[in-house]
Amino acid sequence: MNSLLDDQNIESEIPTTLVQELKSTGRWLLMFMTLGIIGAFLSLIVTFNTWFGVVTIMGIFLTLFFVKSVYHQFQYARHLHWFDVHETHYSMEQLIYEGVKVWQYFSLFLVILIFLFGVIFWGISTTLVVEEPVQAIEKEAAIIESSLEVDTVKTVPVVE
Amino acid sequence: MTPTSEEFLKKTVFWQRLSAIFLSIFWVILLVLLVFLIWESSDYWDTGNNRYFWSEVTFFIVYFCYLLAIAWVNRLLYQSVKAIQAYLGSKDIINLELAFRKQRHFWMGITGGIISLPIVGFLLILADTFLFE
Repeated sequence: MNSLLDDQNIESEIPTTLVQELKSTGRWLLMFMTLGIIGAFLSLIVTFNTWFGVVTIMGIFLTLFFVKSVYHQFQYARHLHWFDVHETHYSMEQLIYEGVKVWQYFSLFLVILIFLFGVIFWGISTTLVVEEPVQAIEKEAAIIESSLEVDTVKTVPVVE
Repeated sequence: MTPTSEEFLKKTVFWQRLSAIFLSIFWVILLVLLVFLIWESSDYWDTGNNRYFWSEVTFFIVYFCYLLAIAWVNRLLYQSVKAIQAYLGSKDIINLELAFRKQRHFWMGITGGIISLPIVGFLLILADTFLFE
């Protein structure tokens, strides 16, 4: 099990196209990281305005998660972006190690997304299926009743 | 004993595969939600109230496009896993390069999706206000 940089001739081991690829990946990850910071602030603002305690706690948890995740993303992006075959700022081991962290946090992020969308789906399915047809029927019944009342008002004096 | 990049790459394969599985589950939830919403709104289509018909159809088309985009992004993640596995097997550096290229496209897709989401949402609201009124 040899390390990637164990060989003496690094330049022949790591082609410049791979270095370019790493740098470019780092740039896109930095962009995703920026959006992550915005997302953390938004989740904090939105959840702190609610009165429901669980949502606020969830908001704080999500913000902390984003901050930790963003930290690893930044490390990874830094390793990727400043990775250089000539000056070798970071080793390939460090780079891939930070990559593992990023994927761990991304998996956790997806679990949270699945949980949230599961809750949303459950909420929609219970409110739409049970309540909305009942409300629709009630509305139609109210319209029919009001029209009947009008008829009754009109017909009553005639009968009298 | 210091762990080598090969061991870290094996860990990367595991976590990337897990991410791809979770993304697939998320995709299935979104698909079920779309089918459910279409089924729910279809009850009101033949009632004569067509005020929201075209805005709903547009929303479903956009939603479907996002589903296709997520499937494409997830495929990139699977391809990245395959490329790393190929590198671990053959030690050909070109496979590692391919893996990082797929990862770059993956992050591009995710970032692009996040950026386009509020823009598309705003356009949908505009269309609903002025076009389908």
